[in-house]
Amino acid sequence: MADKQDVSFKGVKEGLYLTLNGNQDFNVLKELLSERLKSAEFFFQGSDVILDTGDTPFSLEQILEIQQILAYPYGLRLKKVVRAETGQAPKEREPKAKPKRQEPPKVRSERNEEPREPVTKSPVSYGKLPETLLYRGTLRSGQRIAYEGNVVIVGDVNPGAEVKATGDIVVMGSLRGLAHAGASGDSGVAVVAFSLAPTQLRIADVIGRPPEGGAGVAREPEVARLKDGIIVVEPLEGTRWEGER
Amino acid sequence: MLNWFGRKQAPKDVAKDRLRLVLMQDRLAVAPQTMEQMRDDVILAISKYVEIDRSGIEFTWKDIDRKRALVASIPVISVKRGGISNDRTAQRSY
Amino acid sequence: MSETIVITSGKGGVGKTTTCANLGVALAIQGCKVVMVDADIGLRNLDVVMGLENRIVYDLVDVVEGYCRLRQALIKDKRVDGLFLLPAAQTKDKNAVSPEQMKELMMALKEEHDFVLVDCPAGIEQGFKNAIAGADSAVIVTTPEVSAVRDADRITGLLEASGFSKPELIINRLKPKMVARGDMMDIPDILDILAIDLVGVVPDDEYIVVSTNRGEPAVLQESSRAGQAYRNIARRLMGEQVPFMDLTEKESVWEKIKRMVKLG
Repeated sequence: MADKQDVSFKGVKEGLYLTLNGNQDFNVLKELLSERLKSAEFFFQGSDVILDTGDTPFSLEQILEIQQILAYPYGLRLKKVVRAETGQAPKEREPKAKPKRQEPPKVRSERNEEPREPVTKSPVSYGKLPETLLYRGTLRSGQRIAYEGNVVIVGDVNPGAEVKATGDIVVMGSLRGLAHAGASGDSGVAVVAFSLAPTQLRIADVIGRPPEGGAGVAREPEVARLKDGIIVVEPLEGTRWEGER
Repeated sequence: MLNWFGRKQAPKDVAKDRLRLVLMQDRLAVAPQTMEQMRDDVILAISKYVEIDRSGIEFTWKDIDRKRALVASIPVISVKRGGISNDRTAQRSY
Repeated sequence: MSETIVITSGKGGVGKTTTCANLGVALAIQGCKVVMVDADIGLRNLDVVMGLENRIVYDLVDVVEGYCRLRQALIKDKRVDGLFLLPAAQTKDKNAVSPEQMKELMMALKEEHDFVLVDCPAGIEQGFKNAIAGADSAVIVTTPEVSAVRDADRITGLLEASGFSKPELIINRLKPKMVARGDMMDIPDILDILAIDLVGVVPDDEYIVVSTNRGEPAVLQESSRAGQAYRNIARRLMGEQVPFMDLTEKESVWEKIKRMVKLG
């Protein structure tokens, strides 16, 4: 019998604290989890998740499955799996039952993460996250997405905002902030934007900035890639996408 | 136009006056009730010795070089004779 | 001897960042080694005013948290020698740094620079406390408006309570014509109320908007009146005696008539 208590979310400092009742049938848990996520989609989107399996250990496969549910399409990242002995989540404020509105989702203060060691690997690094994160909306100053994989943004990236991905970055809008593709060192990645006018562009370890005085922004989609150690920007049209990465 | 006839205060003076007032309150951060209570207590103490004109009392803060001073102006009508009365309610009729 | 000066105001929008940028440039032009620190974590702006926003790789929080060395985070100015910027973090919040950490940072910066200018965030909360930690002296920026002067007074009190013996005042955006008409508080009016020392008066100057748009501090523009005022203030900060600029500007007869007609 499914019980609401079997799947519970609590907002904690690091993100979301997810408690699953291990005594419940796993398939039921999965379903409940999906349901809960769906109903609170916007509220949860983009957070880090700490999974508490209570006193029942989950198998690796089960954790992987949960990771998948969290990651796609909600962009939640499973950061840690814990087994609270007491079965109680740490005392922190409960999130308001109803999602307020779309909290700036992906934006998390990464104080506890290492900005220079690009994207934090989740301690449970088995299993694969979806390769591409889709984000709808404008990323504003001070907001930040960091993702292990590709990032597609349907919207603008404003000055002062940051997108960091280990893979490619595609902005279906104006890129005016900072984009860092290939954040863990992959130099074969690209940054694409309908309007490419970043404050700064980073591909792998190379940092580029627009020329002084600014040559003006092209009125067509452009792609930035690394060629011989420098970032080269060209019109998207006519460029060939080299193989599949 | 009003500069000549109506003698309306210049905007800069309005600003200055308003600022003075606001700052006095800011710097003190004493609640108005506290002020009032203090005033009443002072009046009570003084009126043991002298008869005062309550309507003419001024009780304000003045700022002197970022230091605050409490300035009270209390019109005295007459000096009480025959020592101190302990009967506070009777003071007015004395 | 080197000095850490925090530039603060309480109220937002009175020109702290502009002041910081211009004084930084002016001091560097005078041959001082200067570093400007943007202490407005989460709402950085000094980089944009300086036109250095696209050079940021590391920021103040990275330094404090030990992700990079201090020297790596310092951005060299593109126009003036001996001028550096330590940018604030944009994607973090004010609580990412503690006053103790700021103190330590200021000490390190002072070792290699003649002047450390700290651009303080508006308000009197954590960001303010961080910005004044480790500063030797304070410059308060105000405009001739009731709200700004009131906040300047509050800040003066707070600074004095924190052990700053003599905060100095910059009156920004003074409009001499309005002062002449009695429509704006004059310098003596403000000094009378705040009772602190004046280090400079910056006239209102439309060129500031242009310079901010371009990311080129007005000090670099010879003809800018505000730029001239900032150059003077910089020299005063260096200990020189510089006479105050004559800002009196009488209304022309024509302007007087125009105003009368409008009012009448």
